[in-house]
Amino acid sequence: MRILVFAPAGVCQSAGLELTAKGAQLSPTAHITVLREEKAPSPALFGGCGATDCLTLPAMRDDCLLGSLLAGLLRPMVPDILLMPATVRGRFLSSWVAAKLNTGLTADCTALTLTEEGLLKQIRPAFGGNLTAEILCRHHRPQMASVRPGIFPLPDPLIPKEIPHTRLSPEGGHALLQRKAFTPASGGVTLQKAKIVVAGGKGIGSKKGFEQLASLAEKLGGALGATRSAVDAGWVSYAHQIGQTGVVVRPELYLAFGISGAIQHTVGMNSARVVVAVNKDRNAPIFNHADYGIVGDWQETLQQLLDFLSTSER
Amino acid sequence: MNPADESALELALSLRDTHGGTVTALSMGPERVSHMLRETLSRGVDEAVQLTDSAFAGSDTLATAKALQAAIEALGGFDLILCGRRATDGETGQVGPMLGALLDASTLPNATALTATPEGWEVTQLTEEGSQVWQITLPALITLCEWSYPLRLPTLMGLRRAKTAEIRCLSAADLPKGEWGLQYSPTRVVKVTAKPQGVRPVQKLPAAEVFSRLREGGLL
Repeated sequence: MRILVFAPAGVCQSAGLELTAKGAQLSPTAHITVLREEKAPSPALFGGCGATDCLTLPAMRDDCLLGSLLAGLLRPMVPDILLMPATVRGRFLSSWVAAKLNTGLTADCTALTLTEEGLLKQIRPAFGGNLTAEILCRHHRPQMASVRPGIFPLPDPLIPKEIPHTRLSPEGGHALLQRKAFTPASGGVTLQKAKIVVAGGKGIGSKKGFEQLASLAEKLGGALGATRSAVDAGWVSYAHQIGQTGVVVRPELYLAFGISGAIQHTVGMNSARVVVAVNKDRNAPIFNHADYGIVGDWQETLQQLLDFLSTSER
Repeated sequence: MNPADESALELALSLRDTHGGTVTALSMGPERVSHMLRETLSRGVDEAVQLTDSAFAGSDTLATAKALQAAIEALGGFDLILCGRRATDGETGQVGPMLGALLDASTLPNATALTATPEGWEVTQLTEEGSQVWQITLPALITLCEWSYPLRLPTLMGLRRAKTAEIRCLSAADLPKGEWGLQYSPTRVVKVTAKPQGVRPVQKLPAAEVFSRLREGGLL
């Protein structure tokens, strides 16, 4: 079996390592080739995750061009499986490559396994998250899947291993886009690295409510998180979104206020060490993902927590 | 209409208002799609087209993109295609970029703004890395983020037009032979299960008790 992994450079660069480790776990005998961007982690780190060899692509700013070059590289290789990170760029590139190669793509997989026939079983939430769908791509190759950064763990410890490494200098194609300016983000990265995450959902009900949560997060030295419905309601910016279409976090402590617990959200916080859920509905699904549950009004609980913190400070 | 599509529609209308041209709203889907297309008419699109046929049923993202490509070509091409960056149900965000690849258009996902400058069209894009500004050449396909352009309200005249105007329907017979529908979809949902319950054994306790335990664990 031949597995290819696209490994991007940039803030989501660990995604390439995670996917490589997943590929090695899917099939320990597979030939795993990593297609890495110039500034992605070093080839030896991919070796440590189980890669067989590594091809390095020069840095290219135009992702339309990069997508077409990837498709051109993949066409003669005909890998069985191609794994891509489900970042904004990864989603775009995977869609572009799938269309150029005329093959199937499943976005945002939360689990990947092999069937008895050796097909890639792609598992993702479906129909509003109350159901989980298993998806196969039987006849087209490669079988393509994208996965959010942080869904699959890295080997621990990750011991570098030298592997064969080739630099590619693909030619041809013309750029369709030209980058004029760039302003780096901060929010999402801080959120991913935070030891404590204070997150709110639809139950928070307003922008003002999120300001209260943000000040709690600040007091605790943590970061503010949110569900998609809260972001869609305009109460908090997208940089704070946790879950299938936001960031995946693994903090020491996750405080969930007014979050119902849809699977699209919980896939982004299930790896937290300790989860505390506050919800007035004692049957809210979030309690199935929590170590401690507080059944009650979020605002009262928040006040109790602030009181608790200020008393113990004295 | 989902919020990302609303952004795309508003941007299309305001570009037309400033630079001229026409706006066509195109949607693929069954009967309920026509209500949404009437909403676009009430906001002032020049034409609304519904791509509907049982032959399209069961299309995955690639098959959907192929049907849209054929429809756009049948409608006489384009200078600029604006889409929402993702649907609120599947949330794959794939159809736009796949369509861009099939049409070989300059394609940029996750845009929050598009402006005309003396040098050409500039698009602001939001990614995990930050915010970037790109200069693009037409023909292009841009997918818009939610809330980038708040959709205008319908006018009285628009509402009247939405009631009476005809929605142009395209069926598979109006398009050249193509690979769409379940039969030509590379991906197939083979099993659907209820989501797993109870990944953690929860202890429901009074707030004060929870905070003390967190404190004992060194977490607060």
